[in-house]
Amino acid sequence: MSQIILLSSDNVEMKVDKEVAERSILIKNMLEDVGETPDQAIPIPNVNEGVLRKVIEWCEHHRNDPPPPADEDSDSRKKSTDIEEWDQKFMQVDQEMLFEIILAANYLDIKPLLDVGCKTVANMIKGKSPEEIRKTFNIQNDFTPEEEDQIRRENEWAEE
Amino acid sequence: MLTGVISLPVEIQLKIFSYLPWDSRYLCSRASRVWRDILLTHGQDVIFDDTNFMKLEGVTSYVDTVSPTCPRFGIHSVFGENITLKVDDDKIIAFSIMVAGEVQWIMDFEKCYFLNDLIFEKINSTPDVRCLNLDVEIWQRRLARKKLPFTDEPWFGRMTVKGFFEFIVNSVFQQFACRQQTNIGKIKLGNAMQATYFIGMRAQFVGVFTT
Repeated sequence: MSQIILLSSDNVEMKVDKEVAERSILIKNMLEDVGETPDQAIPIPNVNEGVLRKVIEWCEHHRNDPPPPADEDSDSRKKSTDIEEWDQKFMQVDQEMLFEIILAANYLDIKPLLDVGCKTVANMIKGKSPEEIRKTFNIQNDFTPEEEDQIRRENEWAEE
Repeated sequence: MLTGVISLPVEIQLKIFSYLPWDSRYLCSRASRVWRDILLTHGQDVIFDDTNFMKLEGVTSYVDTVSPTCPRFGIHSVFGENITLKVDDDKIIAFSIMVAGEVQWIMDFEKCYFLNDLIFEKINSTPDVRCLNLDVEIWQRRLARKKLPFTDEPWFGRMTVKGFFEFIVNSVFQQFACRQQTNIGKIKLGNAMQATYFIGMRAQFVGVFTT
């Protein structure tokens, strides 16, 4: 099993099986372009060590997953926000790490990981009121008091 | 610097929204102006999760027998509950829907992104919807309660939620006004629309596929 070396944005080298690294379409295409297994480390400039380790951990676990169906919009596409148990545990990280993983998955083009990340965030939103959503994600309420007032009036009027 | 959900790239935020049912997305648009603007600008560009559309099996009054071969198609889940339109002088000035179990009145049409959603789920073979049963109640003046059937309307396919509401208001007032005229003989079409009315409605769609 050939191995390659990835270099995180903070200059940490990580050895991974080629097969694992190729879960990333970006790396897979890069390796195909080069044609042979490179000796030097492949720089991943957008991803730091901690995040890259998490991403590799995910790729290790999913190294034997069948490729996703080519036709994305077909009925077979799994659209629900169900997440398999291992992935749920994997995503039990603080929000900063969660968003970093999503960004890394996007950059490295690991679609199934991006899906899991986005589903995780969607599940954090589901069933929450606007105020609870703001609290969960530490979002500032950027509506003016007048706008908030208007919303409140609208709803009072509805209860008449 | 802490990476917040709001500072993720727009296409990723849309992907997150794509996993949410429309009522959750509506509440997101109430939580943050950034989200509201994203949904307003891009809400139509995304193929949302199919929870956006309830399958017609979910509608209790779904008429299954019209065409036994009729494939199921999705209809925007805003129609899953009673909708009330507040109409003033022939114009819709507000409407209420159920969001997360509560009645929400929406008065600002320009800022309600899901009004631009298509009524029907995009599928390969667009259903040729031939029949719409509309259970309508108009009150304030307690005009009547009435079932309005529409058939062979050419407007489905690319009809948005907003376009549908406007269509309903026109149709309902035409039908009711005409009835009034025949009953009392004095009321003109225009008069029926000058006061503020509420149109409560529950729509049932029956689809027939053209072969």
